[in-house]
Amino acid sequence: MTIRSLEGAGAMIEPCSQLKAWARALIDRRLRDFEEKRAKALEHPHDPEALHDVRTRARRLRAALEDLHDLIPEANHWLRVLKRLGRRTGAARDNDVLLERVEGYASRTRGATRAGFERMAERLRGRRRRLAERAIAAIKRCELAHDHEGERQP
Amino acid sequence: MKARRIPTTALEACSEDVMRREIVRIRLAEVLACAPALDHGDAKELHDLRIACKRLRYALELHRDALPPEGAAAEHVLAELQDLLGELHDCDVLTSLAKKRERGVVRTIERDRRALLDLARRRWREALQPTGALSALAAFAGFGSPQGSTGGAP
Repeated sequence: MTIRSLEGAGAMIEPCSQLKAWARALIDRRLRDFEEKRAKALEHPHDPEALHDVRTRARRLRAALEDLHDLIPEANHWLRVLKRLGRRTGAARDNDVLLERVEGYASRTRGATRAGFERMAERLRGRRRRLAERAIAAIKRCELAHDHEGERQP
Repeated sequence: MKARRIPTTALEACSEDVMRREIVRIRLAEVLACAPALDHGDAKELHDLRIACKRLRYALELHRDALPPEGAAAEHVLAELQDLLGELHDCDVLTSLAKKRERGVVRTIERDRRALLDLARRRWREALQPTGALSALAAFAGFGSPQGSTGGAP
């Protein structure tokens, strides 16, 4: 049963169905957000901020699914998919964040310490492309909305 | 750290308000249970605290429209704590990446880590003051002031 048809049913709805519809509406909001950022990241595969946005929306969706777990039949499946996505995109994001931090250290230190930070930054830069490609491949594969629509078919 | 399940069957009344309060209560309990990490300074425990803060923050954000103003203040504090704990985590990762002979690099990162931990402790203490954001949220969630208690779920 879709949310739209539940809304139309009004007073006929059992309290528990109402709770499920409420949970579904909250999850749908998070799902739409996630899908929007996912599409943007696929359009701009080399933009680190687009990757970050997908990750934060995926985490928000995941948190909502954990909170409303018993009210969403697809929760287990989606949680598995999102966990995998988090793992596969995490390394790229972490690498970007660490690189920024190391560059900051390098700019405010001197001598051997600075040289150490510069070497570290070089190592992190060297991993960037490979990790970004792995992340974008994982984002491409993660199609929750299609699963969602499929499960709603009568 | 695995999220605690929010049991819908144990709820007395099957309503959105009860469910919402239960989500906040359980997620806040998770944060309080992880809080001793700030005293210990252990990397793994601090990481768990960060995840717990994130879960509570996302829950407050998702239900923002239906929560009292205490929710928004707590969201702000949690976002700040989450950022500080994230930076602490970056320091731990960078320390493990640094070569042992690069003492200047390790010393710089460790100095940064200490400052971040001090700041996180300060923010936490402020949030638990009687007028602090997390105390107010604890009252809303239905358990007494968490002041002085950093561990144990209610």
